[in-house]
Amino acid sequence: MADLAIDPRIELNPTLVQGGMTYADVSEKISAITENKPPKQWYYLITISSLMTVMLFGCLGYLVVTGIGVWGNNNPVGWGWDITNFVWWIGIGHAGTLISAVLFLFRQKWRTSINRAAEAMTLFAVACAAIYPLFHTGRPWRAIYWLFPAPNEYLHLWQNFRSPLEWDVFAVSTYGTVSLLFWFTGLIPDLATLRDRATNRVRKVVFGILSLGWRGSASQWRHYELAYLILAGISTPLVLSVHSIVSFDFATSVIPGWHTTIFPPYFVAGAIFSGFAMVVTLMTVARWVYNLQNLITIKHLENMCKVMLATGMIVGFAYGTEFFIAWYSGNAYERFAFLNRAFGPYWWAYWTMLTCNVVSPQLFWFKKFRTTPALMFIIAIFINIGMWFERFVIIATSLHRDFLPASWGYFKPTWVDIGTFAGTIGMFLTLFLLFLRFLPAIAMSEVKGVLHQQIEEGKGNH
Amino acid sequence: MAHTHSQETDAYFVPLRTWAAVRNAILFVAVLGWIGALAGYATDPEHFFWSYLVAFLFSISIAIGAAFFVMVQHLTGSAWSVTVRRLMEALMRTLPAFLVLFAPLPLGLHYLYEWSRAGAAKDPLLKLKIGYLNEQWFTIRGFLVIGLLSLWALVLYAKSRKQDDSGAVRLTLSAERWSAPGVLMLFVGSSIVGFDWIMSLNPRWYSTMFGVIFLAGGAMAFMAVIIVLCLWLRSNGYLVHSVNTEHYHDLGKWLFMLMVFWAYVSFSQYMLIWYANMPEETIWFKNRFTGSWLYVALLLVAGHFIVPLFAMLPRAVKRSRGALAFFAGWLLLMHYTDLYWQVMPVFYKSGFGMSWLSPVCLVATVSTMGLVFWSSFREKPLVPVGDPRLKQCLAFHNA
Amino acid sequence: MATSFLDNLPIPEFLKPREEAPHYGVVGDFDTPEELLRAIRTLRVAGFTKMEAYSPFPIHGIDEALGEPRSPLGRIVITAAVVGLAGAVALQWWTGAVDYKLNVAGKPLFALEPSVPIMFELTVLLAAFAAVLGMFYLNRMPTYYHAFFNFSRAGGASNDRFLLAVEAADPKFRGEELKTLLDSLGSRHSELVEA
Repeated sequence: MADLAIDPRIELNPTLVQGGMTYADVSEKISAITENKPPKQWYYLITISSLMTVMLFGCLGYLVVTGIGVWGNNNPVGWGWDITNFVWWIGIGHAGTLISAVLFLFRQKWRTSINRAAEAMTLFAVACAAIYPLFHTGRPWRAIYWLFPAPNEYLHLWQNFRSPLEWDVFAVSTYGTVSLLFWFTGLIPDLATLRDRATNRVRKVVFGILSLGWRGSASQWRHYELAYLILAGISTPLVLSVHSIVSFDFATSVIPGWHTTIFPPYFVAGAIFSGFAMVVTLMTVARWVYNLQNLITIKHLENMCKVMLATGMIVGFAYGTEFFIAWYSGNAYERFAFLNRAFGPYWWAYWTMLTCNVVSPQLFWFKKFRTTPALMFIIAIFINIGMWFERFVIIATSLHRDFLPASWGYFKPTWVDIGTFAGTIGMFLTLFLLFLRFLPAIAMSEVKGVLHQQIEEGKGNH
Repeated sequence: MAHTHSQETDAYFVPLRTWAAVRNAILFVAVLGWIGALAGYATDPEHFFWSYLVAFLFSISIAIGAAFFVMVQHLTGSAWSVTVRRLMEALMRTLPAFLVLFAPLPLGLHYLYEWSRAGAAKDPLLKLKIGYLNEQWFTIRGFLVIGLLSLWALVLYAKSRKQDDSGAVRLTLSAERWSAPGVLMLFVGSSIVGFDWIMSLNPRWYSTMFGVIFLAGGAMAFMAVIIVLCLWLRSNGYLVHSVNTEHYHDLGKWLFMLMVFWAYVSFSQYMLIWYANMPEETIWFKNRFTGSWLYVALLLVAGHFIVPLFAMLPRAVKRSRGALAFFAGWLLLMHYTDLYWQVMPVFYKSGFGMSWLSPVCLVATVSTMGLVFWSSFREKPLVPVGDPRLKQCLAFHNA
Repeated sequence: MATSFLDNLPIPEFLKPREEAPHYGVVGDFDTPEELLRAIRTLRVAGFTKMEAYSPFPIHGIDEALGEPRSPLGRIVITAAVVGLAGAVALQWWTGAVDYKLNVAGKPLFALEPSVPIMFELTVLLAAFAAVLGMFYLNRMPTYYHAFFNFSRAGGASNDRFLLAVEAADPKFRGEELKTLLDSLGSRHSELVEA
């Protein structure tokens, strides 16, 4: 039975910290990124992304001064790129929480070298997402009275808490807040490392204040670990709830193509799918720019590819279920809505979505695609595009065919729509680049914990 | 590890005499159950088929849940569950038996499904669906889905058994490769049968979420069964050390999570239909809130979600074997109630009702499943002894 | 020390000048978590009770070694979660069905179905704040001065060193003598640290 012999080449528990790194090497490698001058590419990138951010502010300023009419939204497509972009950005954020919370609960140790950056990505994505509903109000400075139950000059005037849009306000603001708390809690021990390594006064003071006097004592770790576990425990249902509530914006309505009960889990799976695509997009680049191959190993990237494959299949499964049930319902409106999606005026958007989201991840069945950063980067970009189109298809195709054929229309974006969307990408990249420059992009204390387990298991680096 | 666990070992084999005694007990119950069921069929076929449908759904949902969970364990390469995986696999291996257990259903279609009756062809809405909802395709789909699930179950089980002797790592990786398409097949398949077997009882009604709810309920019930089985074996002196408090804690967490997931998908379906308030959709819930069915619905809200949510939250509860046994048993009962509440209001239109055949059919299907399950342990280990992650699992410790 | 004049005055205990411990304790510096744990266990057997370990990552089993109980954070979080849940129900019921009754699409002024999302979100929000602020409170953070930082190699605890402090408050504390004891347990550098 030769084929049953144990194959020494097969590793069940791959080494997650490679290159014989020690604890001190981990501190050195990761802290050095924030202590030294960044490489040239960083300056090029941030120049471009800051210019795009300036364009974002320009577009938003123009919108505030002129009015919402500068966007392409109009009857019957009252929600256009704004909500598309909002849902897209929120979805991207979900991978961060998934990696930091869900994988933590499932004891997937491979999360450790990517969770910090993914969480940062969550925060920046939520910030980008929040721009759209905020500016869709037209007067964002007054939005606090419209969105939150804040005391106002009209006594007894309150929000309509029965509206899914109001649920969204609570879901997204809770999500942003909890993600920030989670991220900062995770950062504390690493900020203490930066504080202890600081050689100049400014860094000493800044990181001294930020690390809150962390000493790394056993009694501190005791509460800290439990706090982290609890945060992971509550972030897990939170991340499910946020995209479910986003899906309620559509699914509680009676519009064919929107009102379908599978929306909540299907939106969550789509969010994870697009979020992982964005993590892979950013991490393959960051890994290459900063030489982090020993910390963000091919195994990490391969696992993310597998998650994309799995969630891509779930999304494809949901597309199929929707189509099947639309036919099965025997409801003429449902049937029309879905046929119109695939073969109506927006057929090009639908087939772009299907190609990018369902066909392209199939390449991840091949090991070659799961282990070559350049290839997975390209597929991840396709998935990002596909997931944007998914939201656009759901929103635009369901709205552009009203129940009244006289009001049928076709949505076209304006230059402000395009400028704002490109601008948020710029803002996202700017924030991410600043994060890479000034904060530890990999959770040092957690990587050291994984390294310690490796040493225990006899794959030691000491 | 700094800890010096005195690693005591369990007996992984059930002695043949004990095994035969248990087998005979299950066989006895099964024979009684089937005699009762046949008597019911002969005297009151209508009640028989309705009761049998619920019993069949209850049993197969657990087997599907087992297949789902085994594949997920392979895909995530999880170490904590190795010592209980053979029990999961044995439950999964009962799937081929459902090819036989499914056979009575096509005989009783006219009692159960409105679309199979003569009037359907004249109904303006139902005639649109006749290409899907008809006797031939219902039967073919049923056998096809159970057949595919059985194929995967047998292949994965065979690999795991083979590893008992060889310990080859390659088998673990091969099981992982089978599991990836397997999970996809299972999602699609269980969705289809969820639509066919339960949703089409109300042939005008539709909900895209329905298959997911069926799978979620089954996965939760499966986890409850695993906990009950482990505790039963433990009380007889098996798996005392290999499934310790740490493992029970994790099984308890899974039971809790799957219970919450069921609640999440069920609530989403209900809330979306409540909110849109369209008559062709709300009718499904309206039927199920009629008369005393409302109390069953409320029992599900409380017993299948709110009470276990709060009661199972503390760490101590998940680590206490007595409490865990209670909640596992309770949630199994709730799973049966859930299926009963989904199916039976179509038959008992004005309020809750139950025939003596319901418990009898349940005994018949569950004991049949039990026989197949138990046959996996005739001079075969209770634990995948050749699994490369077994050692890791035995030393497992919760954070 | 001779009985001082102050001891005879009827002044409350907390106003009396305390005898300042001149030292924080003796701190030793270990290479690995295993050596640190071994040292803790040995010292516990020897009767030391006031010890503190410092490490760059949490070490499994150190709480048991130091004899620390489980953190009470869970109870704080549960309390906050219940407050959040109740607050969400109260907010939606009072604003919708009492203070500002507005018929929207014929929906009931207050019903549980549409209230669940915000009930969930506020529960989570308060629980998360309680987890983080509770952890800060239990850890007395921020505390920017701590005697431990007087140790010349305190920075090692956030890098790659595993430190053990035997505090001056320990009844068996013997100052300089402890340095040799820690050295014998594997400490690379032991130091009497000023308070």
